Amino acid sequence: MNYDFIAIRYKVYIVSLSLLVICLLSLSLLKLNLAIDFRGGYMFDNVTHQGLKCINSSNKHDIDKVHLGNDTRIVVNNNIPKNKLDILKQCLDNQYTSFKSIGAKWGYEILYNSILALAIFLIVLCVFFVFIFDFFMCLSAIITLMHDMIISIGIYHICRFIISPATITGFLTVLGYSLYDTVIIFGRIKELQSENKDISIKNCINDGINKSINRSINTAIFALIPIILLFASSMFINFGTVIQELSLSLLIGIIIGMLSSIFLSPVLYYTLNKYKKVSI
Amino acid sequence: MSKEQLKKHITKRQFVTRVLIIVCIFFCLLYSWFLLLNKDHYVKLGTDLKGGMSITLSTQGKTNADAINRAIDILKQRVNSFGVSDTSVYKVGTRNVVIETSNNLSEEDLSAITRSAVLNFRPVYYAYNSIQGKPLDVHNNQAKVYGVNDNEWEDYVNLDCTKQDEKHDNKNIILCDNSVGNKYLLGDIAVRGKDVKSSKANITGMNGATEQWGVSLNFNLRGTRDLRNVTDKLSQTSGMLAIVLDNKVISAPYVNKTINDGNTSISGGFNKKSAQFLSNTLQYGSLPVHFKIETLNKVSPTLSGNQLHHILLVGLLSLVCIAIYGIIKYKICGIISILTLCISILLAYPIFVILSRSIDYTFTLPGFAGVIVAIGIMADSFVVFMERIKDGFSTMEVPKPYLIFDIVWKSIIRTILIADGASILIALSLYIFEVGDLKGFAFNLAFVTIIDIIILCVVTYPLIVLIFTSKRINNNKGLLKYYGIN
Repeated sequence: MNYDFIAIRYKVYIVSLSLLVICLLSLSLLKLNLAIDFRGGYMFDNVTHQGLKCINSSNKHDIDKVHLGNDTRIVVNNNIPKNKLDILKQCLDNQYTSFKSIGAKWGYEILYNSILALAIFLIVLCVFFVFIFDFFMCLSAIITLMHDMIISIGIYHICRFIISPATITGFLTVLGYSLYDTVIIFGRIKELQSENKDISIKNCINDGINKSINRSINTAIFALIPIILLFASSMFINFGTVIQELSLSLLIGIIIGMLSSIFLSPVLYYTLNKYKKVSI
Repeated sequence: MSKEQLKKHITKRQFVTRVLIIVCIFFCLLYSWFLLLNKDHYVKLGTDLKGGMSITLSTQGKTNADAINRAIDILKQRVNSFGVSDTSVYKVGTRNVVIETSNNLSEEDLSAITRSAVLNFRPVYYAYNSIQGKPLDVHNNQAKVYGVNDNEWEDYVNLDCTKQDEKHDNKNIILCDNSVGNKYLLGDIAVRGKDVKSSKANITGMNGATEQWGVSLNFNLRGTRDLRNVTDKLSQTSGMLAIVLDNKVISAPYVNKTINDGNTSISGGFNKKSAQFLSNTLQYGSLPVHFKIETLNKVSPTLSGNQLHHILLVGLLSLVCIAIYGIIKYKICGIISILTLCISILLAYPIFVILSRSIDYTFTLPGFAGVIVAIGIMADSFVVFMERIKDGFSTMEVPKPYLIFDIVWKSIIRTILIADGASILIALSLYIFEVGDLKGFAFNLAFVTIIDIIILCVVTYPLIVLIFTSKRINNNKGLLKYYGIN
């Protein structure tokens, strides 16, 4: 297989820039669909018919019902008046299998820690990358990472999927994964460079992508098999929300990570590398 | 085949055979130790998989690691005093504590367990009852006598009890008791709860048919001295002494005589349970940090049992699907990939059991998801391996298949180390900073990926070397297509 990826780089840039703009616009314009973890509240899982009847007769307005397979979940906001909550609790007494109550600030605590994890990760990564590859490979890998993250969250957001701490963890995991793909392609490019000193950077990058593309697609398929199974099973079996949210974000993230590691990061390296020659 | 190459080829075969034998012996030893000498063969499950309750507490205000560790010890004692079995209390992140128990605690029990239980005795400088609309203390405005300055007095007058419960001014403190409509201006701590030597819950009297409970206290030397001093001073003016628990005034009796022997009792609004609990808490000590309940998770055992079966089924199914795809794609080498996957999991399991016994590591639902996702990553490194070999065959003139490893092995191990390194890095940073349910996910992902690198070096590599150095393949290159190389 021999396809000229460098030749289509401007098309790639236009596509990914417009995707970025769309995602950023939607993130700034539409309200985030945040999970109960960010609002605080109560969640009753697998509510029985008897419990549902009781709720329907008392107050329908303060609750959200979510159907998962054959099970029903009741979600109640934190700002529900205390007397109404007491009625609800009476209704649902022993009419559920799992109960969760979450403080209003809890989701943000998790978010804060996740951002901290991300920051530390990126710093260590930069050092790691500059050490193994070169500065411009590091730069294009990190730009690609950011790009992946914004687009995955954007798609998530546009589809109005719920954003929860599990989703955020999923996205952070995908960063590692999309990096995995990028590393393999860069590794290949680096190898080709050292094998043949005369080869032009353009041919080198093209060869590198073409030689790794089979692998990229195959690894993505292997990685997606268990994730698709997890996601599919969470549609039928009530694993609680965590598994569903985690696998959905992994699913979206891995596909985007695979595409960007093939199409974006190597050509970005090419463009940046050209800039280096000009500046010297 | 030159003589030198042949010699190298034979030594390589011998080397990897030795590695495989050592790995086999190691596995036999590990499993015979694990199955015969170990009593526990199962990992500990989290509350989401075995049923029970898990509560996440967050500390309020400034605190340090030492205070949190002391608080965890006290929390353990308190939970145990409820007779709750199978409980673990541990720190998560820098400022959160998780209590996990297989029993269910009521909300009342929980708030009792997590309260700070700081008990203090403070002199009442002034008290005003908003219902009667007059001061409680017969001695009008003691505040001036005790040297309360104008600013503090103004704060007291201006504090609206319907909006704010308490206000701290230097050493003095303003507290509202909205149940009876009192607003207190209290002086500095006169006697400290930590000077209580022993305490006991007892019945202090009857209110109709209901028993009135109280807690009798016996102070140590310093407590006795402090109590004598304050009661001596207050008894001269028949002042009030407020008993303050967690910044709530429990009662504020008038003091008529000096207490010399360090024995006193507190009462007011206790029932049997709360009195006994306060008495216990005073003996274990108060919590050095304030806790707030952040999340509470209650799962019934039937649901959790189902979930365990289902997640195991999903894991097995992913393994089977990967096996099918692997065998279609890489033929005989595909079988090796399945073998190595199984070996990785077999190696990981006893280590998980050891971890769960030694550091209380529990397997949660997201933890299982982490292992399942890691199965995909393990299959990936195999794909990297195979695709690189394929690439080597297609781009370079390789006279004999066994020579391929001289060309590609370094590049394979380098790529996999960097790529897996990146995965491990993100999983570890998630593990370190994650405070929620997903810690297990990150830990398992990182852990299984590390196992993957080890297995790749000591099992996958030797097996593949054995295949590609065998006489059959080297004499007939056409056979390579049965090994996924074409």
